[in-house]
Amino acid sequence: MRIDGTFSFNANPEKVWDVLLDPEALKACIPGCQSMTLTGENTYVITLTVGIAQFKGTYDGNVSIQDAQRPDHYEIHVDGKGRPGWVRGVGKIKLVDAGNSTTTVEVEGDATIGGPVFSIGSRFVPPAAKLLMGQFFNAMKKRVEGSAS
Amino acid sequence: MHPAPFAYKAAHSVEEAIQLLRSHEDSKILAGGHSLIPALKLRLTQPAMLIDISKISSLRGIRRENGKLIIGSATTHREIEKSHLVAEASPLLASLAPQIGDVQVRHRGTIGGSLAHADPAGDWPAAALAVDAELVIAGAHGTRTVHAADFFTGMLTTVIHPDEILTEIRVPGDGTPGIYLKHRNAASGYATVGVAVTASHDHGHIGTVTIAVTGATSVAFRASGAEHALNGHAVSAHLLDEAASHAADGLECLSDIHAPAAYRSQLVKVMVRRALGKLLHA
Repeated sequence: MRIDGTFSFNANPEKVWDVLLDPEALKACIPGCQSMTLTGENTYVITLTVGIAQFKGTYDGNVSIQDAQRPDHYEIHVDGKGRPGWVRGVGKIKLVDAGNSTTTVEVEGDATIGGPVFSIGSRFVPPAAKLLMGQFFNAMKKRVEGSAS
Repeated sequence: MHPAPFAYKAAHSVEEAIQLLRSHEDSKILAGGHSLIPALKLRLTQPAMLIDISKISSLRGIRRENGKLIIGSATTHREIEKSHLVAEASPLLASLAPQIGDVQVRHRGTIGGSLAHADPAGDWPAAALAVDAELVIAGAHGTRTVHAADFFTGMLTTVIHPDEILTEIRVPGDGTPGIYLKHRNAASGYATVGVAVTASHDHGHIGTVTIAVTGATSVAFRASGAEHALNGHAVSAHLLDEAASHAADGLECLSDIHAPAAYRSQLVKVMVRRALGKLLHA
């Protein structure tokens, strides 16, 4: 399953980078994040309660940031498991200087999902994933642009 | 799987149901149960209490009032299917109701439940959008009326608050010609794509066309681009071909094991064209 997106920020790439990879920012902006604990360099265990409308689930997972080239690009690796099913994915995040102290963040995500419910409800997953990704980046945007430059 | 344990209470009035919603956090309205109970069985949702509104007589029934049809939210699909009033006053609804699920589902499922659940493959949202239905929602502080265009805010999401109940659906009762065409999933009967179209026309001249699509995207929508291409024009096969060919422009279609996005996009165009052809005879 592909999850792609493009998001623009009114800040330069270095600033956007620092917020996108800040553990406090991640904990605040990842939708439904209940806890996030550093377990190694750029590696976290995370618990989320997330979903659409009344259909929420709790997931435990691991997140690691890899191939980080500040302020250009990084990869985020995720694997998580919850009652509705499991997910494994990689997001390639690219930060592009768009001039005038603005940055375009390009996301290319690839995920596999499975488990009893994700397979039956597979039609709900890509729109839900897109929605959650949008929520994450909108929260990040507020955080980046909120802290005065 | 079995559902997680839950408490059950049958409400005997709308006021009682709202009271129960407000006093029991994590409670959910049960009408026909044909969307909710499968979700319970998969443990996708685990409400602590189900509030059964199927015994509230004020929520059932179809009547005419000031040129509109007023349909109680707990009216079953079968009741709508069998209604002479609907057949005469709202051809689109009469076309859609018999196509839902199967007769057993239609005997239990309700129009209000279907709209409140807002399944991206549900049938009623397309009709509600195509006829500009008004949804009446009751809460602790009274009722409010929301237009269908503002009612569906995303996949499985509507403007109904957790302590509110959809009580009525109001639709025009002027007999405007309408049709619902559905490409059915062979197993579930859900709409891979469903198209609801109404058209007023006079001797080959189109008055107003409305086109609403469900099943293709995460939330049902009106194909307003195609509508604008048709309104006020003289009917011709070429006009309908052109309009339908743009009905899927800019859509982010859903993709699953039943149909990839490109197929859904194609289905939208083909089915819009067919529905227009049946209504406008071209």
